[in-house]
Amino acid sequence: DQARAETLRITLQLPMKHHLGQNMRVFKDLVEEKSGGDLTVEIYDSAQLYKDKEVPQAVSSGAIEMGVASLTRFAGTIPAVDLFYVPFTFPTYDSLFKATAKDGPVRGPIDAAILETGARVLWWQAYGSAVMLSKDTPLRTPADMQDLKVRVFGKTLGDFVEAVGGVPTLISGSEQYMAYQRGTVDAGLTGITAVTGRKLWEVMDTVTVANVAAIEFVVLINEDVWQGLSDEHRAIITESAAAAETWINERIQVIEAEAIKETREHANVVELTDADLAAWDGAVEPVRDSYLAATGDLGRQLLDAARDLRP
Amino acid sequence: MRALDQTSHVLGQLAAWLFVAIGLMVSYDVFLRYVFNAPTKWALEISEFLLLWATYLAAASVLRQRQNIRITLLYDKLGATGRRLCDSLALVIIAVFSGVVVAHGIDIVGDSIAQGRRTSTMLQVPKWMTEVAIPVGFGLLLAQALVELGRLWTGTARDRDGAGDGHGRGEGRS
Amino acid sequence: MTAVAILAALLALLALGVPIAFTLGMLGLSLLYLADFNLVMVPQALYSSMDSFILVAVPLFLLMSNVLLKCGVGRDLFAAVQSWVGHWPGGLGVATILSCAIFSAISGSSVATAATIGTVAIPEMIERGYNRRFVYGLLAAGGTLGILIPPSIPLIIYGVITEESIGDLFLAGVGPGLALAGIFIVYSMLLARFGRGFTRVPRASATERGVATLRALPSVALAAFILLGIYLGIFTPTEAAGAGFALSLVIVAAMGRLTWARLRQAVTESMNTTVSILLILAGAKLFGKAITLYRIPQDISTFLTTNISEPALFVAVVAGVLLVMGLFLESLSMLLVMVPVLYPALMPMGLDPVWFGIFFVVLIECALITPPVGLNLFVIQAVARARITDVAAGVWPFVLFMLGIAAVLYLVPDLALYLPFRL
Ligand code: NA
Ligand code: NA
Repeated sequence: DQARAETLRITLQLPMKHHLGQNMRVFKDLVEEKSGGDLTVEIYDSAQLYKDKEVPQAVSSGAIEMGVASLTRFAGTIPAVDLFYVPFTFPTYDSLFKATAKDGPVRGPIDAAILETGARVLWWQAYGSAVMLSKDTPLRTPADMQDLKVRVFGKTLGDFVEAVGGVPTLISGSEQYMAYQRGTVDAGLTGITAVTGRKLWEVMDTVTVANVAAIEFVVLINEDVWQGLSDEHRAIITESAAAAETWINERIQVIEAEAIKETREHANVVELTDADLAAWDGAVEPVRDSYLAATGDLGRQLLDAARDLRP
Repeated sequence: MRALDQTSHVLGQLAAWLFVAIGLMVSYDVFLRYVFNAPTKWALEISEFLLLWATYLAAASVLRQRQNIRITLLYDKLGATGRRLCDSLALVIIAVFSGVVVAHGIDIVGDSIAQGRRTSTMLQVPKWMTEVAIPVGFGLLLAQALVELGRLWTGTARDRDGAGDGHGRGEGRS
Repeated sequence: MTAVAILAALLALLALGVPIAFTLGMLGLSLLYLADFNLVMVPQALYSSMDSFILVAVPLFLLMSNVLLKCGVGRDLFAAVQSWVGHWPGGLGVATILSCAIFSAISGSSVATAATIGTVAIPEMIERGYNRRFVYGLLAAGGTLGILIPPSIPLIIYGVITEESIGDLFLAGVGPGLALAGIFIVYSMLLARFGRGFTRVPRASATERGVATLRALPSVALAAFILLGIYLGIFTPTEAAGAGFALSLVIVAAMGRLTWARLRQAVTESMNTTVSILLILAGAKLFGKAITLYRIPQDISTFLTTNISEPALFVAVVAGVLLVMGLFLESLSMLLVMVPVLYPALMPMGLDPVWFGIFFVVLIECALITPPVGLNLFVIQAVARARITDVAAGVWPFVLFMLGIAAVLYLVPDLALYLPFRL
């Protein structure tokens, strides 16, 4: 059918200078260039239109054509997406990229489940892995977290902290600096890039780097909008999405390595030995159990698939 | 009409005490965290949940009592007809706005029920349970606005202290 | 052009007395409708505007200050402070400002502060021959300390819009708030020293002081508890509000002042204020989405950052615009409409967003006391049964002091930022 000029508005909670924002710019430039200006992409960054937790519904309902949401925002509707927050499930980037590859054994079923909500996943964006922050004493073994009040984001990470004897406390990204500084919590989980972005080393001097959880974002397009596009435009968007995904997968490891390097200049960076990791992996067994209990067959399928990808 | 006034009033009072309940819940949570190192998992979410319900449930009561914040500088200088026209404009705006909110608010609720949408938080509450507060609250507000509009033109409007409207009695406005 | 038309429609509806919440909401709705956007955004915006734990602090701080107010804490506070400083030159003025500053630490609103202290302080000062206009201006201005010294409802709302830490914002308000209180105090003393009619109050006896202080002690302790609790990280601002409310109930009950009638009054009034504030917030959220989709904030901020390269000029222009808008716009809507427009320009200008929040609140304080539209003017008019022209004539020196503090804030950002970030 005839290709019409269309505007695709995208809501994004991060600023344009963030690597997720830069990634959206890559997509925008490719789409606009390939379509010769028939497709216009407008990016509304820094949550000026929607906060992260509103994005899935905004896109599904057609209030906006496209949006970037963190995957865990679907946990209420599709509990199995929290596989990425079951700790230590993806110990290396290699295993993570296999899991998040398009039509792969982990991502495929998730994309299909999201499509049923009225939003189509175009590509996945790696935000970075979660690390553990503490004061003075490193969190080397599960016993180190015993009785500590720990800042978490999301239910599954809360289950994790409970499983190792800590007290999970939900604190938003913007309040976490102060919560650490004033001792509202003793330890915390956060993305490694947030450590550098918010200079968290000023208040937490020890950073335990381990791939505790993988923070993933998904780029969504409203399904009705997608079906209304011409084949030609769909092809352009699919190609550009693939290119943007490659761009970010190449970029994220460099960004993380730089973030760890920068953190090392200000804080004590602790890396875990294989024995330490095995102890953590054993301690999170109850988290896997409650994940399976909450997610049924889909959860079992995804967890098995993820295990097969481990090195 | 009486029945509607009564409903608005009761729901307004209910909302007022829901705010008190939120206060007690939040302090109970702090207390547990300090004394037993074991905060509740529900206080934070339930208080957000109640904030939304209480606010929208009370909207009609606030309108009935003419407690919405507005600027009455010009209004106070107008004669009876001028005031009546201004009031009508305000009530029509409130009614149209509420009507749109109710219509689309019901869509959202239906959609969330159909998809089994839940919040991605600790409690994973079904989303329709909070979303339904919006059509309910604005449905009531729509009815209240229409009743007030009717009263305005049938001469049964209650005596209104125009000057006090916009500024309240000095309680806690920003 | 669109921006001018929208602003004109906004001002026209507000002038006709349409409630602020629905003026903003209806304008947002109409803009979305005219550009053929999906109106499902309307209820979505209403939903998401309430979906925040930080906002829970709004009703709780209001409940706390209303409970204390209904149970006569304002009178105790003023009596105690007066027993210490009343005999100084301009001592009642000094006592008024000190009482306002202390009450500010338990109240998040300027209107509550002005009304609470004004009810007691105005008759006392008029009786002692204080210049009426000075008295009205002092109370209108002293009340605005309520939103600079934490807790502060405008700072909570600023934090919700910009996702800045409420704790940081609260701590940043302390320095400028105390500085402003200090300036007001010095001004009162100088005026009394060199003016006529400011009759001194006799020095209170040690017993009088003791009794008065003991009575006011619980509310001062509560203020300290909240401020220190936030500062030391014992609780988040929302939790401070909850705990403060619970403690205020305990305090007035222990003093034998808590009656069912007072409690019910406090609860009902808190509800009315909370709901009317939060409805404005919801309307503003929708309005904000609509103008964002029309790309108005983006265009204005691009215009500002491409045409103004000097932060000092930017700050001066913003101050000028807010001062003029503050003459006519109600303070909360000014915050909700202007922050999304100005916020994107802060980073290119190298301005700290927490600092800007405090700067903005100082300009809101001006808006609250500048005629023709200023909530604190109306409150003092109602409390003192004064003519609005007298109140308006009394505020101008205080407007100058506030603008002075705004300038000092620009020159010495640490006045705000020292407490949250450098200590
Ligand atoms: Na205050
Ligand atoms: Na003003």
